[in-house]
Amino acid sequence: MLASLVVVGNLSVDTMSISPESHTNIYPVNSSISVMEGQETVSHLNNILSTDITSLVRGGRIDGLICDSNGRVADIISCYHMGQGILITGLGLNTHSTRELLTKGIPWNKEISLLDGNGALEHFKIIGEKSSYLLEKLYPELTKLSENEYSEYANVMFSTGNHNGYQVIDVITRSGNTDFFSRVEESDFEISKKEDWDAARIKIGFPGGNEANAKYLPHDIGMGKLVSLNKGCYPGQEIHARLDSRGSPKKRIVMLSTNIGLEFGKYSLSDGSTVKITSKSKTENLHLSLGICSVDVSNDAKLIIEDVDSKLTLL
Amino acid sequence: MGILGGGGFSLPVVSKVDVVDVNIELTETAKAALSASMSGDEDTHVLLISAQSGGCSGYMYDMAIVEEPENTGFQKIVYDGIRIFIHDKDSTMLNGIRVDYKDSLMGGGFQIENPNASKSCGCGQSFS
Repeated sequence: MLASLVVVGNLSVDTMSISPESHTNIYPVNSSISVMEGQETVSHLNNILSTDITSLVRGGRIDGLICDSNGRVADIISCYHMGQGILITGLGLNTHSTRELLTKGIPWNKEISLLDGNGALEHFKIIGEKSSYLLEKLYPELTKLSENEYSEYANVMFSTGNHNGYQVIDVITRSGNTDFFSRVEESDFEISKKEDWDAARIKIGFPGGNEANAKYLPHDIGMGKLVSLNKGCYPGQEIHARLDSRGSPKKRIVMLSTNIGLEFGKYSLSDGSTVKITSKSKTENLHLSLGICSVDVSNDAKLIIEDVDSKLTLL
Repeated sequence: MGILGGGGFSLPVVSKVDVVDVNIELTETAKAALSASMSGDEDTHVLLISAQSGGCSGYMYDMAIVEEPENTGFQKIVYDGIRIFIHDKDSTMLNGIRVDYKDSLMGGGFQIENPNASKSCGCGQSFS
């Protein structure tokens, strides 16, 4: 379990800044990008998602979950109504399974097709306290962004969202959009390396492919807000309704910052509970992980590993 | 200009679903019930069985007696003069199904047993 641990120094995790507010970066995101075109696409998508998207209209954005019949999260997606179709971004690791689900259940008498946007389009996310400032510097022509909507300018789409209180700006551009890349180059900011996105999303507690992999319920990974309990049948609805009416969430997602790199798997905590590490990344001087543990975990619980300094953050 | 608009910009279609030759089974009670429902319209009408996204388990069955559709993407199976149409796109999901009919006041009617389904919801109309 603890093989290959790498000690990066005798630093105290309590004294190190792990706030995503401290840096503002443009992160390339490994997303699946698809466009669904045709008759009644909103209705078709609404049959699949655990989120009610019937109010999605041109210019609007709604985030949602795809769950399996056991109520487990299989993908986290954003839907943008572009007029001629719905642009759908999801987690890159789930591209194949999500696209299969989206196409397999298209009614025979509906002309709906799914187009592959990967390659032709690129997805970036801007996170940090200066995210709005960064966007303003890149695109002074843009007016203020509103949540649940998007703006388009010069072959780039911009949309703002919020996760755990952190502003996240989604930017989708055509690949090879020289205007976009020139603006970034001329600014004081730069596009991060692909591997940096993992650390950034862990800092704000945004699940990735190891959390949205049909093993965890929406509440387990902090995505309960994307379940619409009043929308009627959708895959997993029976489980979500039962959990809402008869039970309560048993698990929650946490972030662990440590002075060593953790392996995937289960670790004991000082309050007697355990945490299962599902995502991990390394910043300049700190190892960050996302883990799933009991909803009752103490926020001052520490990992029980000799010489390991750890700090747990409830998300 | 929007990111999807403009001349010369197009995206490839995600490959379509697999197609297999469909075999289905009708029980004697299902055949009798269908014959009664067709009531002499067998020459002009068909039983159309399809599946689409929806329900608690992911996909929902639909069965309807309709005028023979003009769409060419159907596989046609004939049972005692009753023509059953299943669209190519539904072929992998519906291949091997057994259609039964239960004459019961509670939970009666046409029922589908599907060997491809890993799970069905309580009402039997949805599967995954």
